[in-house]
Amino acid sequence: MSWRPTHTQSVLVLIAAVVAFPFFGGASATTVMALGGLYAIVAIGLNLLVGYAGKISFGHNAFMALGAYASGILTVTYDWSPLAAMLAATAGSGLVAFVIGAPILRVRGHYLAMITLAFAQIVIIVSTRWTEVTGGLTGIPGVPDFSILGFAFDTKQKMYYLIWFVTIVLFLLSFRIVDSRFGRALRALGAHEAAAASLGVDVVRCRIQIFVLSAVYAALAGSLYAHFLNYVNGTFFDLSVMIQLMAILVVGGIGTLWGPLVGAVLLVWVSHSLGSYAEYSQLIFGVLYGGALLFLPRGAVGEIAARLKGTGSRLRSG
Amino acid sequence: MMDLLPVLLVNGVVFGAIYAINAIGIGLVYNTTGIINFAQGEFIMLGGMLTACLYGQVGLPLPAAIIGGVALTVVVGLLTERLFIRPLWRRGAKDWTYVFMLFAVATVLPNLVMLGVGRDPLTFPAFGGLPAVQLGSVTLSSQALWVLLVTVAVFFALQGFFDRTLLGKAMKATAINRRVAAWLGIAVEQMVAMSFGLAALLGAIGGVVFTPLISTQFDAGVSMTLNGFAAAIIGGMGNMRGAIVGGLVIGILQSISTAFISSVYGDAVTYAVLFGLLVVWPHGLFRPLIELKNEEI
Repeated sequence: MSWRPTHTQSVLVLIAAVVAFPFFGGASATTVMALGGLYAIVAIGLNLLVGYAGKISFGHNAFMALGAYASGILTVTYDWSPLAAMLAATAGSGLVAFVIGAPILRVRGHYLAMITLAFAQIVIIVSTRWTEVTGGLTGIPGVPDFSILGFAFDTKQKMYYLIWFVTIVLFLLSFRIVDSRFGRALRALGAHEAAAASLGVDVVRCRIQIFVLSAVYAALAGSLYAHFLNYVNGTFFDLSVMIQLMAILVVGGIGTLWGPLVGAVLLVWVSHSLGSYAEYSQLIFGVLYGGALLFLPRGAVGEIAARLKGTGSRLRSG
Repeated sequence: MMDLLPVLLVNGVVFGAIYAINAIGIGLVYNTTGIINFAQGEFIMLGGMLTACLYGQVGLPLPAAIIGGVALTVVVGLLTERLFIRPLWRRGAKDWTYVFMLFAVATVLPNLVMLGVGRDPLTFPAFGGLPAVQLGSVTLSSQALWVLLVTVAVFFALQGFFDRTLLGKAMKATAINRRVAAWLGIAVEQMVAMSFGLAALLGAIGGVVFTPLISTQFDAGVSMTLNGFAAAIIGGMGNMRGAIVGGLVIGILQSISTAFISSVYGDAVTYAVLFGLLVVWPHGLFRPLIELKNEEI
């Protein structure tokens, strides 16, 4: 193919599609796409961690839960404004990520994966059992609509626009990060750690920064989720969510900028169309991403990009 | 409260034995591949569930059901390596790909069991044949004795295997340096397959001796993996003696924290301790068999 869309053109098309969607898609489809946006936010952050820094977290569902619970508790129990609660929720979750990541990321190997899995188990246990604070299995109902300076996002459609605004901002930010000095260090790190270190990259610091950033993305999505549904419940953030996130990354294309976005939108529709088969969602997403690892190692976006470049299947990734 | 302590200790040792078997399984795969096997706990679950099904639903006599359950689990372990790990290995995939893949296996297996067998916990009768032992004020049940004896037997059998047989020595060589092992003519791919088969065998044996004590169900694997991992970390990854000590530490800790702190947060306490340990002694109390090595696994 001779013509390739530039990033600017692609992003403009994306923005146009996002703005136009509610006018053609209808209310229920808009709600689904809003959820897709939320998943995309988490996936964009996770992609920076896995795809660029080569580290794995199995606990980003827990950071979503932290964001959602912090927003829910601060606005409902303590009457904070949604914006202040959201800032506190994301900052607090970033701090938790730092406390977990700083010691663990000094160690080589995939200990972070195991520790974050254990962390997620703890968060889910505590969130459903610590009834006085989290409402236990009932959760926290009556989370107020999100509002900024008196403007309330009081319909699902307004929330859709807010969520996708945040998604696109964070998406563009991920472009900037990957192209920055920090991003180059990050990619060097993912490609060959010892080489990166010998060229003067502060390997540990880089990893910690990216882990904290990705946790902040997840907490922000969790906080938006609480305001979107006006309700928080621990079961929203169980292991299935993490499995869906991994499927999004692998199917979309790990280490590609557009992968998480494309994967999130594709899979939110898969998830939605399961309907009464929701019980099988873990199985389906597990098979989907296991299969993609084997047969579509570059993911949908990586595959398309390779075809457009005409490099066929010679390129390897993952 | 203090008169409870002996009972808790004995309980902790019995649970710890299973975590130790699990930790050894995790270590075996880690040694030959550098991969942490996130599906290890699923082998324990499978061993227990398949035996329970063969005994309860199919109606085989218990010894046949046990042999069948263990054999099927080993087949699953070998298939996991052949179908999901080797293709990644051959294309030289990045190391996180293996972790993702094993996590997919750990997701799919329990869900298949849930579809095939259901959500209910299953169990089968204790083996019998051994007496209950009176240890001071505490009675060690016959099945608990089975757990301890089998763990000890597994430990010595493995030690003999690695020290005395050519195959075992080849696996050990692969663990110490994969590249040199390949130069010396050891079929590294087969060693990797062996390590998955052995890990599944250990898991299945653990699941089979342990299930009559409590029961098992489709989603029991994740916490088994995490507890086994905690034991492996304490003991130093791939260090068998260390794995035994690590298993006992985690088992006793869990038993005591469940009794004195909260039964609800029992697992949470273990995970918190695991985290603390990783912060203070990231490489465990014992030396790992191999220092963390080449990153390109």
